[in-house]
Amino acid sequence: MDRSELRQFLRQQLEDDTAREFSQLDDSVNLREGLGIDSVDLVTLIVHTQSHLKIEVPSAELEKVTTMGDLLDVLQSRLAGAAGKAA
Amino acid sequence: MKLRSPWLIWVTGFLIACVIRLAARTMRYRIAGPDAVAHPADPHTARHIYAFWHESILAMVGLKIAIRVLIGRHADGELIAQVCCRLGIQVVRGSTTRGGSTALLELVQGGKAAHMAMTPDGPQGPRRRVQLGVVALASLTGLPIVGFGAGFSRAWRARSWDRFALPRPWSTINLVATPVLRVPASLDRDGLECYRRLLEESLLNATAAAENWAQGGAKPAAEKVGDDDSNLKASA
Repeated sequence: MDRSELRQFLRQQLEDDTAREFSQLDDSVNLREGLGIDSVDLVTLIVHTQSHLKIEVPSAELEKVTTMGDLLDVLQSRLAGAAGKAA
Repeated sequence: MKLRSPWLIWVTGFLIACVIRLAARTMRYRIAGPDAVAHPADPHTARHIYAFWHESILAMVGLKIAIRVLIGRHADGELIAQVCCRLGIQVVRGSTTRGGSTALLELVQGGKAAHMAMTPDGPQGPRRRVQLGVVALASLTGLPIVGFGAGFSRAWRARSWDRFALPRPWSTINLVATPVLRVPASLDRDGLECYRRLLEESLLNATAAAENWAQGGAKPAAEKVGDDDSNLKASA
């Protein structure tokens, strides 16, 4: 799954979880202030993403996540790690 | 005065834990509610999320159950975390205001051999108002929530936002359990809010019943009686 597909996946998941529409999901958008999602929304998103993509995101990695770009970086890193283990 | 020195926090935490343990030995616990005989449950067979108002955290100590608790990252949080650790309570640091996502995820992912304990109105209130985090946690983990309302026969009350309760030695702590609340998975915000209101109402009712009971009022249904050294299971 490339970054663009991952972004689209997250958008769909966020819309399903929050019952809101998100038009702007570029890397620079701040999750809390730009998208209005809080810790409950973010953790729900992470848990659903983990389940769907068969990855695990250590809780400590969420410390540095403030923008959509940060979130995509963390998820891509976990996906790459999972692919490396599978190979 | 806020404690900043790690050494001072360590010593203070140690002393506070000792005092709490000693005081708890003098107290009597009574538990009632619709399914009181089942709680606290064995975490290896049936994990739960136990919810207490922030003001009645100390009532939890006497239950002697394996629990993980969420402690805020505010300045006093380190001292509280130290006290909890010495009382055998596992700690996850974070709150709705600081490090919430990290803490919530850690609670979801970890702690297979312990219940979770949360103060749904913490860390800063409003007093006795349930926040969304505990309901979201239940939805994500599939764990049922049981709330405990606490009533103290005699307690000092701090001048804090929650009027924190310090039960007096040789007093009785009355706990009334709410009915079990199961929050479905994959709920949206509106759905979570619905269950938040349910839990809040349930916990307020249980608290009112416990406080009334503590002051000599009617005993809620299915009372069981124990002291600090008992397993707090109803006798046959």
